[in-house]
Amino acid sequence: MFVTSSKPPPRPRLWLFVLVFAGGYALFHSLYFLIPDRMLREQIYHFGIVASAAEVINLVAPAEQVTGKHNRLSSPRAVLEIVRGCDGSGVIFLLVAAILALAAPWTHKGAGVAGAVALIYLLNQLRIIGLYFVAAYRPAWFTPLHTYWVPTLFIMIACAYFAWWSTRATRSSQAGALAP
Amino acid sequence: MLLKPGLRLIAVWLVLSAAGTLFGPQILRPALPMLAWIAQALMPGHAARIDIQQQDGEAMLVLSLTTLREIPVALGVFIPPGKVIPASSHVLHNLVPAVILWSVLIAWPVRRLAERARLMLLGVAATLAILAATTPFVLAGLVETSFQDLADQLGTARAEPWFLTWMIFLESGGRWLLPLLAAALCIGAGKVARQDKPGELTLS
Repeated sequence: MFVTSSKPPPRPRLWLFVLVFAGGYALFHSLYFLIPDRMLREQIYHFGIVASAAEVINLVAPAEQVTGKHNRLSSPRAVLEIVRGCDGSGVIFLLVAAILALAAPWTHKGAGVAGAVALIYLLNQLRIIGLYFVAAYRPAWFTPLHTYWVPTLFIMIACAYFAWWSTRATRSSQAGALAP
Repeated sequence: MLLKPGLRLIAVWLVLSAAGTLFGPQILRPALPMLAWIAQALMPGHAARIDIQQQDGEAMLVLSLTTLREIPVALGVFIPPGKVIPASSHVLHNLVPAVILWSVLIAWPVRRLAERARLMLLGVAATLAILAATTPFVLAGLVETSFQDLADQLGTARAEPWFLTWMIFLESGGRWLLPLLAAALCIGAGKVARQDKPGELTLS
């Protein structure tokens, strides 16, 4: 079925998007650094990341005998310390800032933000568990994976998620605008 | 419908990441003089040199800062002239922004070859700008961090210079933000965003 368009669809306001995206990220970054190190280390990282990662590792590989204390995963084979930047916050801030910057209904933005946080949290947990095994059994792979391959893959996944969400959000917005 | 562009993005990322792993030092080497000049500008009173060295089997960018005069570190504490202060960072770490930028630019859909060529040219300029805004700051920031640690040990305060604040921003995710912003600006400047013209037939 064909439809003629009598006027061009709204042109994406790219420059405004870029400004709001960058400003949003900067705001989240600033707020993140207001969180005291001790609270991050002893509470947020411990309960949010380390405890569950240790449970999963011991579930799939009981011989590892991993313990989680504060921001540290320890075993006879390896020690992994979770510090700022290892918690997935950077990617979450990027995605959330991009979602909020795009012109879309607020219900879609809310769903997009919730999905982004859940996705990146799960991926980051997988990353930490994977890096533990790399540190324990293939230490030579740790640096290239940790500093290069995995961070860039995360960004690609984030870009793909944003593309998927924004396509749905803008379609829904246009459908609503065309509805009688 | 987004499966094909998504797979394209991942495929491009894979190829570029492999290229960075195999040829990282060769890719960065031409930019070393520019990066050293910026590092030197960030730390007056020093002469800067950046080399690529193998350390424990890994390619590292190594900054060697030579003090040209007495450099104050903390109250009453100075580094004498002629002292060489090293700082190093993995080559791969410094290629992350370029991999992100080029993955997006190459995977971005275009209609004509001229649009792709325009995007590539803008991408080269953006890569140099991003390198200039990241690598020297990371290396100079590492040197400044050692000064801050020394001042802490001596029980004195040392003001945090702006480039250390920028380095912390970069290491906390800013190095991902910059190439994404640059990609958006390249795409906008290259005017490759798809637009339907008035009266054009579109599928519903």
